[in-house]
Amino acid sequence: MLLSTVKISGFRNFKEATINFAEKSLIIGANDVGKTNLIWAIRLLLDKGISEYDVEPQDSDFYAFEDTNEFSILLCFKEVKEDCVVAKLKGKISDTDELYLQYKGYRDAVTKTKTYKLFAGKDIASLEEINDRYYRKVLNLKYISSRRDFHNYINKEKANLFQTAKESREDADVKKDETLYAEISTSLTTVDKKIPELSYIAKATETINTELNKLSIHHQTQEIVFDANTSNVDSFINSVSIASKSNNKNLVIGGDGKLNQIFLSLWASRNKLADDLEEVSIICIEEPEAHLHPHQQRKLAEYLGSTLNGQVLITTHSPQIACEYSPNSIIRLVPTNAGTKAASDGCSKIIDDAFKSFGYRLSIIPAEAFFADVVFLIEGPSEEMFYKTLAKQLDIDLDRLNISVLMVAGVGFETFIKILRSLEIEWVLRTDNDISKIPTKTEYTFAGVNRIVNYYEKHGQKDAACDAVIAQYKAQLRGFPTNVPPQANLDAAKNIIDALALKGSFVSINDLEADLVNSTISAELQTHYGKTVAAEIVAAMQSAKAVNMYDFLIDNKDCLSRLKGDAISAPLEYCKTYIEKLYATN
Amino acid sequence: MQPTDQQELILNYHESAVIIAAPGSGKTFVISEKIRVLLNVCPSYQGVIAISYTNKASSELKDRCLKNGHDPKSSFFGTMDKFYIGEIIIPFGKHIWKRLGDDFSIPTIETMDELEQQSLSWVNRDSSWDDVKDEQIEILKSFFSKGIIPLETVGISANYIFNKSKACRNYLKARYVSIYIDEYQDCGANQHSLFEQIVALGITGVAVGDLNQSIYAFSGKSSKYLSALTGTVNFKTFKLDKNHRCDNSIINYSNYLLDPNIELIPVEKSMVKSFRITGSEPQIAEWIDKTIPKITAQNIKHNQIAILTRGNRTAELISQNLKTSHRIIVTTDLDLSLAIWAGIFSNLLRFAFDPSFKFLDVIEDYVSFEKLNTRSRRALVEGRDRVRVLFKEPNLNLVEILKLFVSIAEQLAPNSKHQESVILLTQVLNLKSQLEAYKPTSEQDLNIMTLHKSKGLEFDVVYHLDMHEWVFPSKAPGPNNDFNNPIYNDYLQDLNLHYVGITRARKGCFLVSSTQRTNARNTLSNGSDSEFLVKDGIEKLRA
Repeated sequence: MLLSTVKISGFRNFKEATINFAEKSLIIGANDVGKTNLIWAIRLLLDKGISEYDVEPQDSDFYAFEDTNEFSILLCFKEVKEDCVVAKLKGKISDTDELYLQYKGYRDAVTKTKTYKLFAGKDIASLEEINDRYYRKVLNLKYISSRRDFHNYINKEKANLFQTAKESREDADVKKDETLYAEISTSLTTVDKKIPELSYIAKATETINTELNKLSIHHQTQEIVFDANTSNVDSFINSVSIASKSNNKNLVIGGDGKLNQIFLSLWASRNKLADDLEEVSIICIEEPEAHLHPHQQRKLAEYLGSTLNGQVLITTHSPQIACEYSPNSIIRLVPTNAGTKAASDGCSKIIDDAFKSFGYRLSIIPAEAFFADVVFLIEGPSEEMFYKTLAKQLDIDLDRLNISVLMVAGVGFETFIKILRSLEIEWVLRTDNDISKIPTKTEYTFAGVNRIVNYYEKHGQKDAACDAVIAQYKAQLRGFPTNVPPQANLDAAKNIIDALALKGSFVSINDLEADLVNSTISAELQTHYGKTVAAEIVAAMQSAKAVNMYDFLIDNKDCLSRLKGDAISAPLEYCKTYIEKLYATN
Repeated sequence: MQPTDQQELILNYHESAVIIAAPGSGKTFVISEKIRVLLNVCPSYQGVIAISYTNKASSELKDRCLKNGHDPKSSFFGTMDKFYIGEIIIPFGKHIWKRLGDDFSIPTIETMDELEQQSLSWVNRDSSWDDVKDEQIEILKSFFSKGIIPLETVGISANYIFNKSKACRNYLKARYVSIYIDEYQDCGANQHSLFEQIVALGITGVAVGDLNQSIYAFSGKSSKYLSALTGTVNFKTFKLDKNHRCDNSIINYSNYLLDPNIELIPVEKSMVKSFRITGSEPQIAEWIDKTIPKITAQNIKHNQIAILTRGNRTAELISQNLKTSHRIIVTTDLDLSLAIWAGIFSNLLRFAFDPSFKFLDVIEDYVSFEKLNTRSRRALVEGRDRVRVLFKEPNLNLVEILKLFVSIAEQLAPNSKHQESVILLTQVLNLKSQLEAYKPTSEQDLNIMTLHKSKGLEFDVVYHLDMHEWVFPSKAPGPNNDFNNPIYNDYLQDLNLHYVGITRARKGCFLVSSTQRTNARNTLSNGSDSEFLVKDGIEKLRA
């Protein structure tokens, strides 16, 4: 079976959201966007660990930004065919194997008394109130919090692990174990006998008995001994602790990273043992990457994906984990004016299709962009280097503002735009204002401007004013006889460039290098390259773009602060303003 | 208990089967052992369907299956009607007939208003669901959508819904590994059809019955379905014909009654006796009072003695005149009601009177205590204590009891509010004789009941009354009051009922007639002996 959709209204930071899930779903989004709230919503209905007390609604559960006294969490399951669930949920599963569960929280407008009701049914129209979450024995969610208690859990699980292994022994093993067990038992008895013979233990025993005798005659009949207490073989065996062995020396397991791996592997193996015969469990792991370095994170993602049966929800901040998931299993939560939503309503074909053109798996770099609120797309490595340095100099903290700068080299803008759009991540781009000849014609065109017009028309958010400008001037973006456009065409292009800049699409005046040479930092460039003719400097910069840009920035990054307010900085300013607006309203 | 060879064969067979069982052959033992084995291995979300003919037989079977702490898992124990309603009609009728909520009433047609009765005039005991027309289904649907399920239509509706609802079939298949139906000789067309379809889902079916015990022909049920099953390849037929219950002379007598050519077991003396008392019911009662000490002197307890009558009238008259401590086994309308609230009230009354009845058993039929929240738990525990207090008072405060029971039912099944159940409870509370029915049987009490009620029970000694001509077998004068050519109501059914009565007795069976009897007009008629007493010269088998 599959938890296919969760619909939330009026709950915490979700005003009205539909979130689709896949068999393996990865929930991503900035901090505080509501990942934990989404998980909590599902847990309210499914987690066995949530008591009757915890399930009561709190004031903070009601959507905060509007005066609402009701919220609803609706879970839709598909392909409900497992016998245990079908047997338990009499009359609640449809002919087409669907099941709906709902939690509704209510708050009295006057007294502020809070109550809740639970519903179940075969479709939304036939939801009926149920008295309790009786189905959790067969249909539940197993949750691992990001704040997991490694030591306790590992100790507890150890006993389970032993027991399970014990039960699955072959007869021959059982025989061998019994012999060994008897040997251990004999040895322990010997140990028990010998410990009291240690001279200082013997002495101490004598002392205490002498003192006790002085206190009361009764003690004469009873002798006190120091007991090593090892003779209970079972408790002795079970008290073994997990340790790392290195060159045959025991090491105490150190580091939360290692513990985290042990924790998850124990947990996963336990989950693997419990098949879906007796219960169907949705596994939910918050931030499995905790304390692990990137390679281990990727390994862990792979491990969890292959080990855990059934439906798995994982929340993560790790691009390493994200890139192990197929795109249609990504749920990106986005803040909007009307509460948090899932981009493209969660796991969807739209996202999948967007990725198809990209190759199935993501490379690590765009995966990082999933976690951004806005992605600034630029052409190549020199632009990336330049803009990251520029941002610093302009005091625009990209990490704090959750802005990713991403180069599209070799892939092209449009592929990235499609992906970002499906994940509802704002995109900003800056491209060269190149003018090129139309093949087979003796005509030239503003190729760069045409590019951004094309992206806007296909993927941008529609804007009437912008549309009008484009309609008016688009024809003049092409059809001039040389690569030096006449003034009328230049004016037309300028109008369109200005209009699209308001929508986050930018073109350079010529290209980055030329723009820089013509900017307030031209003095530094002249010095750095030892040239005074602009065209020569540009040519030098463009000869080994990235290396040259690097060298220049190493020595001259301070001067970039002078570019504040320059058209070159406009895309970064645009990103910053966008983020500030986004969080001001959320 | 060590199984016999016959029983062993059945216990070792795990496919669908028909078991033809004679009285006293250990039928309940075999069924309960088979169920116990299944429950041992099946996962907790699964169980068996165990259908008994009466609620009483069902709770006995359940007790036998679950003794020594066996877990019922997700089993169903109950009557066929309860199964139809609880497992098919209410949960899945909602899918195809659209209605929300669990507030259903299940009236018998005769209690409905005239218009409603007219719309259901096509329903009769023999209506089989595949003869039912579309417009008649529409009528059932419209009742359902108003929350009404006429009791007589449950077999039709259950079959219809089962066939229309894939979800229903999925559910039954997922939940139940096996279906047991007892008293299959009294099976109706709808029950038979549903049983066969459930088995076709892949659920193992076991039908148990005795062709000779069919006593319910008057309710449209016939042993032909049991015979039909024995001829089906999917069902292996087993016989349990060894009577381990009754004295050999009683076995001989009952077998000879049905088949005079049967081979008799050699016996030293017969434990079947007949008596003809001078007088009418008061004199019979007096005679019973006199004979009881002789029986109890043989270390037989009062509650192991039963007085069986053809009808309620004789039972009442004997009860009025009998001096020995006794009780009439009555079934109240509250017990007969299938409503959830009625069930809760019945359980509560049992708990109130019977110290061995646990409060947990009252509630766990409806909701699992461990799943209740603390508030509900506390309310229930308070309710329990209050029941104890209220029933300790010498004069029961009926108003308070009623209020308390309703509040407990509201805790246990808030969605099943049912006014009719409350009315039935009021009736029971107001009638001492009905209230008595909930007290546990005491070792000191003789049992008085009708032959029909005795089915499935056993006693050391049976007084089989009403051995009168015209009464048993029941017959009426022929056309023009022709006493010489009387017409039997249903000779075979009465013969089977007589057979049931006799085979209730383990050690001794007394067939009793009298010179006078109280007739239907409550006047005295002369009593002559029933023809059963001399059937095929059977008198030679009596002492």
